[in-house]
Amino acid sequence: MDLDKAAGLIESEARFLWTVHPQWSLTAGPQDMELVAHAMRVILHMGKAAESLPEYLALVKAQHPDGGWGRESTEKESAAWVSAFCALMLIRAQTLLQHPEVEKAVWRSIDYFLAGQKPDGRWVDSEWGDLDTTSHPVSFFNVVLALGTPKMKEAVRAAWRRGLRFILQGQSEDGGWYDPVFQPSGVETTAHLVQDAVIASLALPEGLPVRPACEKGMNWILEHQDADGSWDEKNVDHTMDCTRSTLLISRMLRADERCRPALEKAIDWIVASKNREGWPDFPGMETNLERTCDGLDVLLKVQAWRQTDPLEVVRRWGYAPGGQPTFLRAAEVRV
Amino acid sequence: MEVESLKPGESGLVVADGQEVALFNVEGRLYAIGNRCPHRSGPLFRGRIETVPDPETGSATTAVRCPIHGWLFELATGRCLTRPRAGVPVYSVTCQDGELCVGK
Repeated sequence: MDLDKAAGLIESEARFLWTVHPQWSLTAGPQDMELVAHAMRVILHMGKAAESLPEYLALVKAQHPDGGWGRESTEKESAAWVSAFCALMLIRAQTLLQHPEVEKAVWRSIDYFLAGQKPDGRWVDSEWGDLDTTSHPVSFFNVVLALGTPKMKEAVRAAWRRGLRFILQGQSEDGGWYDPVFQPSGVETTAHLVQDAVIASLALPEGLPVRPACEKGMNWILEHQDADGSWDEKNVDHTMDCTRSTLLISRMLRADERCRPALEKAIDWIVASKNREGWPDFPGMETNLERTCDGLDVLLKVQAWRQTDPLEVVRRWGYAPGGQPTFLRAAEVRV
Repeated sequence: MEVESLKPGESGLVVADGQEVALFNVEGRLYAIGNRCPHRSGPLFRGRIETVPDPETGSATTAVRCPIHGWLFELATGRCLTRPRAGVPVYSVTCQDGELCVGK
């Protein structure tokens, strides 16, 4: 798919997403927080964070006093998986927003994840497998370490290493991560873990030796692609996960050329699976807004992958160090 | 839906009284449950059938795994095996004049 076509699709799909703004925005009322976080990622990657400050302030307002978020904005109990997704959206937007309320919320979420980690390094969430759940706070801490300031790093680094070690210990001999309870097929779990957790430590100093795990994970994902370019029996969600994971892995392991044929087939399949407006869970089904946000995110990451700056796609995960400081000076000494 | 169109090992989707119902033929036995997973609305008729241990009794039971995030639902009862207290509705399914009939 050429870049002009990708740009056209991004424009038309983003226009569709904005026509259904009341269905995903906290500024319009109570929402499903996973959908909110998915939409906020599109806002961020489209470069619209600064003009969308009310969306971020509404996300701050929905945060619980313990620093987490509920699965629904009206739910009182915090849940780890969605909290990590929301925290990631805030910390990454803060590089642009530089807003004191957003910064306070990021600190509260750091406290939430430091307090909630189990002694063996995992985080738990009753709706997700432990490996998948753990990958998200680790991903959040990747970004905290990549974007944060030196003075805050000790406690976060220790928790991050424990989480990463838990993930590395969970990898199977064949390179995949399997969750016997939630994901025996391993497709989504492997894609999440490689992009959310393991791969990022390659970019951070003092990381664990993750390159062999990443290479095995990349091989596992490539080997499990179906002939038509999809993964997991034409599963749009899992194909998007594997595609994004491969975009990041290929760049960080300098395996672009090796992964290019698989990526091109996957992207063609994803585009062909689209409805007139939005993406379904499986080809031919009705549009799902969360999947539509995922589809937009894939196309935006493909655009970044094809830019001449090799780090541009890595920035779409927030893992590239440098740039503007995320935290204001007053908060530097807290952790 | 015609009985003949749902062969052993296959699944299908029908709408009954405005509700999506997932149909499964497991070795000749028919099951009908609500199609949408209560987690993220994954379409259960696209899920894989598995024989798994019942977490309460340990005995083997037949379940469908949601294709999106892997929640398991016992076909006979609609009970979620991966998250206590969650579940999907169960419907009766009968065969009349070669047609599958779904009811409460």
